[in-house]
Amino acid sequence: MKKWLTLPLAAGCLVLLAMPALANEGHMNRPSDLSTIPVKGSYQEKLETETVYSVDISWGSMEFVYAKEGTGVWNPETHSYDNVSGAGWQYPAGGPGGLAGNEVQITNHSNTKIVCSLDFTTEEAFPEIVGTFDRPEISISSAEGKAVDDETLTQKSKLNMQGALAEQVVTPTPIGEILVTLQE
Amino acid sequence: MDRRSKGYLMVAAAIALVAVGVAVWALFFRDPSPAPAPDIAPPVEDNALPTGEDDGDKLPQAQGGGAVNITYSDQVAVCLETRTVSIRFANPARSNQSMVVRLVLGELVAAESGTLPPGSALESLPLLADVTLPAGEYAGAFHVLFYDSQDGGRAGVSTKLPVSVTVA
Repeated sequence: MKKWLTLPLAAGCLVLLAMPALANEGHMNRPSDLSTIPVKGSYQEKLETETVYSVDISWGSMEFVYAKEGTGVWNPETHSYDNVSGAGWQYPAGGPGGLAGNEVQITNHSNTKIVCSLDFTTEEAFPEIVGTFDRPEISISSAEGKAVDDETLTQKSKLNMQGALAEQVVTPTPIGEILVTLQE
Repeated sequence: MDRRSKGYLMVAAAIALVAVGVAVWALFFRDPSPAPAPDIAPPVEDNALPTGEDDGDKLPQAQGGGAVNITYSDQVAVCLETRTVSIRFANPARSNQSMVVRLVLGELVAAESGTLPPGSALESLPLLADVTLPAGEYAGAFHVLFYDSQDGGRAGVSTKLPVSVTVA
């Protein structure tokens, strides 16, 4: 009985050995039977590139002092008083190449133009104080095709304060916040 | 029922009434305006990834001021099934401030990150637990808060960046 089964089992094993060859969809069993893989091409005027936004935002100390009478701000780098004036709001002057205490600076490194608006919101505890920017809207062109340090990619705006601060506020106290908004 | 039991019953009824009143107020009358921004930097964001930049120069910063770079894509995708917000946002190493990012849709804060120190990026955030959004396209914004990297105090400057949000 076992001898009669031997031949069919051997034939079955031979068939199984041939299965991997049949798995090839292209049936590349003979050199002349070559599968073809189509390659396509098309023309476009310009490839769509993704917009990447990259913006530097820098700001000065934003520490204002309200002086009831005229005063100035001592500058240790020049050994003199800056912003000597009558009563009103004073702020630290900027050092060489640095931002003044009331300045916000924006640099555009994006591959698209940006438009920023700058707003100051007063804290509820100080309703008499108003802050306004000399340039409340800044527009900067795209950085595409420009050097990283191109000066036209950087713009500044200055925050000016109006209104009086109560004489009880003798330590630096938050009087408001600045919001820089990129427009669509 | 004796007098003591009646007293306990009245106290329990009063407490139940107060609890129902609070629940009704919370559900129907609570001010929906967004939670105020934290004054101190929260813990570092779990999903923050390193930007992989070499240690280079920091942006010039005025004494007492701040300087940051924000690099991001204005395309945001929300998957309702996984409740995940897919974004591309980076606080490069040259920044001098840490950041917290909020995804805002109108008055709704849909997602908020932990602190992103300089040199970190973010690709996903979970939707806040109580947020429900129908599928569709929305005009939203990243509201980015800045925090001193040393003492964690919040800066008096923040920024809003418009984004397009696809919810599916």
